[in-house]
Amino acid sequence: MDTSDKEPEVVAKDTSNANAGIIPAPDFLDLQDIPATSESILQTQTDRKARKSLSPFQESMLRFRRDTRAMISVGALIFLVLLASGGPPIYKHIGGTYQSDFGTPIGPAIYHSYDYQQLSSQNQGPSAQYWLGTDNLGRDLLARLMQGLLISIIVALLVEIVDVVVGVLVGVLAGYYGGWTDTILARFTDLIFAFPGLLFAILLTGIFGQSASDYFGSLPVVGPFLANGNGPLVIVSLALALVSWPLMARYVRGQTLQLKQQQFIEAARSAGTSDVRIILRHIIPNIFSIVFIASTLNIAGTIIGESGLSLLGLGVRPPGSSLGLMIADGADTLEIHPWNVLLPTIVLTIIVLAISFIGDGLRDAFDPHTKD
Amino acid sequence: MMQFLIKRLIGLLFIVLGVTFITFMLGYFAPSDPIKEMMGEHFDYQTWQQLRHVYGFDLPWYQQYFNFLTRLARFDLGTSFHPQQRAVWDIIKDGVPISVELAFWGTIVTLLLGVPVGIWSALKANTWVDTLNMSAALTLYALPVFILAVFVQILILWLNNAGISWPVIGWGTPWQYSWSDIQYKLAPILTYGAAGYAYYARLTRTTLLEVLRQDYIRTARAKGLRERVVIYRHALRNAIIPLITVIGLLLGLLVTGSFFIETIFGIPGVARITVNSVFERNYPVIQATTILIAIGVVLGNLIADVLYLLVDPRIKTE
Amino acid sequence: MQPKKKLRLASLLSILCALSLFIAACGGASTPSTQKNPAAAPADKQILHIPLEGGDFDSLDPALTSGGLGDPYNIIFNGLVTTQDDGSIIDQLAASHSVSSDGLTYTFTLRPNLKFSDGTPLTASDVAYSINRTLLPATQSDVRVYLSLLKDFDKVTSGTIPTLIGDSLIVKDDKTISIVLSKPAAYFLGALSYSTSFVVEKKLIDKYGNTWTDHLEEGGGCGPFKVKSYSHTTGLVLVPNPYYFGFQPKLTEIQYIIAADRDSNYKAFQVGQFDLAPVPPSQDEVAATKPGYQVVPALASRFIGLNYLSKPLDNIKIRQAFALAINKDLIINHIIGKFVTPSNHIVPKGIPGYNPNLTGPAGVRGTTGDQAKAKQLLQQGLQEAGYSSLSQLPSISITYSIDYKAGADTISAIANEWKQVLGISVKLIGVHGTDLIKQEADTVGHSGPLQMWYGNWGADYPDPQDWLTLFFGKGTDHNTFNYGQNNSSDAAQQQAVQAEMAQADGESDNATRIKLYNDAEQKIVNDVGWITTYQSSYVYSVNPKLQNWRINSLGALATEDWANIYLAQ
Repeated sequence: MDTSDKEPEVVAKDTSNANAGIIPAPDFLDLQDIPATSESILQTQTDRKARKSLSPFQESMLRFRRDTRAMISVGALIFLVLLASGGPPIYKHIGGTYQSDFGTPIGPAIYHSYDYQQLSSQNQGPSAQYWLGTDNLGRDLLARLMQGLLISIIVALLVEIVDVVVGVLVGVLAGYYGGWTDTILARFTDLIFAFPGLLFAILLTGIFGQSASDYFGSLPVVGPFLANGNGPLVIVSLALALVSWPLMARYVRGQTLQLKQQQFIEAARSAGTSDVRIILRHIIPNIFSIVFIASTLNIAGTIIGESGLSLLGLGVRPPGSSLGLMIADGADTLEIHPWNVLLPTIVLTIIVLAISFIGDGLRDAFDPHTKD
Repeated sequence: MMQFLIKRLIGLLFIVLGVTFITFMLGYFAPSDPIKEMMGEHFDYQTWQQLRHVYGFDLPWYQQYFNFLTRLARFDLGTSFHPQQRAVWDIIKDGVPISVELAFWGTIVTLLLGVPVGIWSALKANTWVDTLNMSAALTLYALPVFILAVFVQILILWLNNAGISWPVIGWGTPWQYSWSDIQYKLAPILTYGAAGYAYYARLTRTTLLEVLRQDYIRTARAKGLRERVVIYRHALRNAIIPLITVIGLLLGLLVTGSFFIETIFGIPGVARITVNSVFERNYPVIQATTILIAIGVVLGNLIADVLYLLVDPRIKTE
Repeated sequence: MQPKKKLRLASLLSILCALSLFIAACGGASTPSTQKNPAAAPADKQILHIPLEGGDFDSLDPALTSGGLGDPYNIIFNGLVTTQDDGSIIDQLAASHSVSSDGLTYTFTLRPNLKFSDGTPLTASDVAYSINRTLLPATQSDVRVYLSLLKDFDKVTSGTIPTLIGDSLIVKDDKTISIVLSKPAAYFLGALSYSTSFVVEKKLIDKYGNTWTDHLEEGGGCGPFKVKSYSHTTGLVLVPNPYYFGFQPKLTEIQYIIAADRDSNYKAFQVGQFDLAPVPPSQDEVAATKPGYQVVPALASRFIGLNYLSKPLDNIKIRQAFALAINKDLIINHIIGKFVTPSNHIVPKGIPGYNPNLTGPAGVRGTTGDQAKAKQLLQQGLQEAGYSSLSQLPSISITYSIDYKAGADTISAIANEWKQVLGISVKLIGVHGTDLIKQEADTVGHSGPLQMWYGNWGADYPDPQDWLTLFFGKGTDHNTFNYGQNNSSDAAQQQAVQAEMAQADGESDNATRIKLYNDAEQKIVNDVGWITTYQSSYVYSVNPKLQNWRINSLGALATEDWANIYLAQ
């Protein structure tokens, strides 16, 4: 959501509260309309006598589970996550013994690893040895795909953790307390929005990428993992997270503002409940759904952003793999060997489609206007 | 209205200040030494110190930043390190109209395609039309711009093989629309608009659906108004407001795309200059283009705000 | 009268050719490209479109550019001498030259009636001014090293003396100039043919200072073409220079168009936006089947540099193991393509002094390596260096440029072979090309930042000195490998090789000179100074209508070639 609209929009909402006759300006995520209070749900529930003793959350989940499109999407995502995390160890144990380029016999543990190259079998179609074929360097496409998925998922998760933690924290504080916290947040988000996300990421990774990856590669525990071409990942994630949290904070702030005016919060306040307790017990649980929806939408953007950085040579580097790197690697032979690009692109598209449909489903499910 | 505009302009000033600060800090903390870069192979310590002093790099950071700002205020963007040590403004000035043109037409394409498809999808919500529309839009959204651009280029190659002569790269004359200019510009603009289109179609669909669920729409329908009137008179008008406000965000998205579009289609715009200077560590140019892009995005937002004001008169009550 | 007759004959011939071309086209069988001189297209169609990959020229100033070989520099500007396509050096602005008996003084007599492109006469003082300007500290030239043979080069570049004019650049009269060297060198004329010695017009530089190349349409050059317009955004347009002393070109315009990356440019060539374009490796197989495809073996190589000051690369046997583990044929055939030549040589084929009998390290012949021997050498090397097992080896990294994808792929494949054959995992570090060059410079005399890296070099002039002394000589800027000055067991022998090369540089008897270089090269290869992967080729696709445009093995066209280049109908 853009920032500059914020002030007018809030005004519009405020006025809509005052005069019920004026049409409210809907937000694109429709975050303000999510049933935030148990009171309002109770009201709708009394209307529907048929339904007994279901919490609002359970009721929404029930609706969500009935959404076929969303459920297929959930299934697809779970499958991809399982493939990325569980696939490689299994795949490395399946397959016979073949000859390497140097005439030595090798087993699946070698030729089913994502960085092994059999140059003499480059750009091959699917075979018993290579289930999805090989790329232009004779690497197993399936192995690279699984590794790439894993990397893309890790980046998405890293970004989302920062996004959610920082976004919720700042958003709630700004929304709840208002005043200077709110002003600073508003100005800061304006600033970040003026900075196109990728430009910021390019600047950060372009300037600090190499030294950062050297540093992270030398760390204990995570070092060995990051050293193998994955070092820039950390800085890429950081850059992408830095540009994504203000949007989350925006959403959360708007929601918190609305919640603050609800009767049950005011009741808690007049009963002398501490601010911390109100935030933890009443506000955060009620913004859960909006945070969830906003972060699913952001995941798609993150994966695409990572792919762009990898193309520019700022993201994951060989022999590492990511969906973006696979696409970038195949870009110059798109006319001759389209499969090398199409495979990761299809997977990326499936992820984006699935996440978006889940987001749609969640919104529908949590929408009070939805009638069964 | 005036008061609002003044408020926004002050906000704009703040943003520009912030952007200059961030870009300055990125350059300040960057691991490579600008003077060393400038001196190339002729490094010797004494000259290095002299140059540092001449360029003010030996001052504390706040003084350097202050100098940077005063130079900016005089519209002096500094001197580029690499090629030929030309004035930064000299390097980017030709790129500005081109990038603005690309962004302008890209936005138009986005809106012209995205909004109608979004409306169509919303009216047919949860039917196969909707699913197909949204899947197509999301596929375009998921497809990284750089692959889309290569796809488009291959398509143009096919066109040429089929006997239709059409250029693959280049931009023609900025803001001129002879037939050959249009030929140059069409493919990049469409590619540029594609990602935005996907985003906007989705957004329009969601927003319109939200409005259609509102009570007043139900009231309107209950009153027996024709569906057409309900949708075009009541629903669309209200749905359009948030759509306008999001143009600003869209601009950011489009700028991101332009890094790839300009590079792949060989368009000499600001985005390509930026990417090149990041690779060359050409800080003066990076700083200048970043500030320029940020100002562009903020101005785009301002325009969106003004449009918003015109559409939604309630703001005036502020 | 004689030339005119010839001209008529030529045009008659071309009409005949056009006829036969037409017939051939109807018959559809014979290849029209074998026709010698197809009829030229009308003058308004004689426009050549050339893509500029990746952006603007680094500089149009011949004293500053690092790409000063070939056009547009050698057709806007001329020098005293010039390189022909076969690598031989001939007089250009000079009508004749002579060398003193001690080999230290070169005296040039200029052609009569030389003029700049604005009609101003060009004299010997202009030649002296131009060469001197390249060397002045204020010019900040990165490539002035081409003139390092001049007497007092160090003094003028450091600013100790204000000028070389009257010192080692002696203007005798308007037509005569002498150049004095600090030591006799057989390759001096080769170095002098580089753009750093091209003659530029003082008037223009005085008027515009640093930005004089933005005003070249006012003059400044003296070559067969002059600048019509130059924009940093769109590119450079050249037209024939009416004041040129030599030929008048058939082309009426050359457009250097600032374009996109290599892949996009090649697509643009295919649709006719350009008349020529380098072929991206990924497109080579398809391009080779189409008319206008050109492959010319280049006097250029790619190599893996190994820093002698970095452990464990100070051990000769370990270096040899790395070299012999690589099956160059396998990698190159599958990644680069069949148009380049896998090689063990430092001095590439085509340079005088190329040694066909050279063997690889440890006497291994051929370019498929010797994997069994590599393993054996590694074990011996580990023992010598006191490592009890592979796991004790310090980590090894190889740095490469991510701007050149085929190079990145090559390194990835080589690292994969090292892992398979030697069991050593080498860390890959991708950086931008400009950063790699900077790091190479920083590695001279140090154990870092580079350990191993993927470098490349193209000849500036066809002489082994440009490959051997330049890279492995004592104290040279390019001795990134720290050959000679290190702690390896062969350091003393390496220093002897350095002395041998220095001797060869000044040797006047060609046979002796070549012999010395050959011996030095073999010893450097044995010590694995660098690991050559392959000798490159220039691969271009050109518009089939474009006649006589053929790149030479230096990757450029000689100035004279432009007399005959034209577009057929």
